[in-house]
Amino acid sequence: MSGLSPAPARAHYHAIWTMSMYDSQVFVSGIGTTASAWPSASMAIYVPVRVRQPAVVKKLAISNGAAVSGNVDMAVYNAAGTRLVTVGGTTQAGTSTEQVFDVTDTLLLPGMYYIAGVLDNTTGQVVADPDAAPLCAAYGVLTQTSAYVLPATATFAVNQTLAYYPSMAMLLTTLVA
Amino acid sequence: MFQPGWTEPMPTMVAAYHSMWSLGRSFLAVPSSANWETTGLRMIYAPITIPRLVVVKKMWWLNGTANTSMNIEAGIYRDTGGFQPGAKVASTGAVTQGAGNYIQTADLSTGNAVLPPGVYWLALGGSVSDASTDISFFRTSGSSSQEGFYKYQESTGPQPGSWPSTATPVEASNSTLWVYGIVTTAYPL
Repeated sequence: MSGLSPAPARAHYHAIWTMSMYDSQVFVSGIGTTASAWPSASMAIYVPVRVRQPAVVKKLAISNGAAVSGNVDMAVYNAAGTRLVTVGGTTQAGTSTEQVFDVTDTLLLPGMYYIAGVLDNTTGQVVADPDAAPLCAAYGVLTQTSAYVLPATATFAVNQTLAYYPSMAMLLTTLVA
Repeated sequence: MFQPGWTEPMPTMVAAYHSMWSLGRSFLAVPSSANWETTGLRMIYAPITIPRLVVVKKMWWLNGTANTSMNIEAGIYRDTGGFQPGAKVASTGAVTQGAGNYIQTADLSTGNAVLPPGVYWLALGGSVSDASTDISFFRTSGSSSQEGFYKYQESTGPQPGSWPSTATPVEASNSTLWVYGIVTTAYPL
């Protein structure tokens, strides 16, 4: 082997993150490191991500800021707005750290999906890019009001004033061919 | 950007410069509003590489902070095979620019466009009557030493609604990277 490992038949990866240039579809301005309060109580934020090979979602995660409050929910939706896997309402916990949720193992085939997050208040903080509106709309982000807990079927809306691109992730097992 | 064996998903939106299928330029600086390139007429072209069959439903662009309801147009041209825009695929026709700080979309005038894999050029143009301040879009700054990588303009700025069926491109005279692109049928709205 001369110290070299053979390349896998397919590259595989372990996470899909809203702020990754490989996973987002229109590049965001940068990696958010600043946390701010959720912009509207019970407003779901749907961030599109690319899944490029079959993968099993094992966990979902959100980047909490210095203040936590009330409840949080996360889920994954397909492009048509059907919820595929969900956390269910949970107390937001852990300041300035990621909050990780075990979810039912769920197979995703290649395609576009949405990682969704929602807080039921505007005190709890999440790390987010505060890019001026309407940039989030250009990133493909969609929203829904009165969506805590996250619904089984999303009612997507373009939000022309949203200036909040949250840091959320799916943690995976990737199926290697 | 593409890995053999990966299945490339159809994104809901593609940006002319700032996405996987385009130049791949990241938003090193957050895009902001700027006045259009010139007084009068101008039409620009930005290359994208489409790696899979895509059905384009609409064009989109980000209106800047100020505009005066001038006509604009957006569309798609094929590549000639020589890294230049060639034949027109489809465009929106003349569209009145809408509200400021707003993402605006418009249907292609001939309906959805089916694009096989290949290189295409996304076009954007406007008609300015008084001053370039009549039209503004979001953008990031480019470099005059790099614009040949990513931008051409039509030799004479055609009026929105009267775009040529075949491009006559010349080197761009402005390096700005405007924020606009295509919406695919995967977009759930």
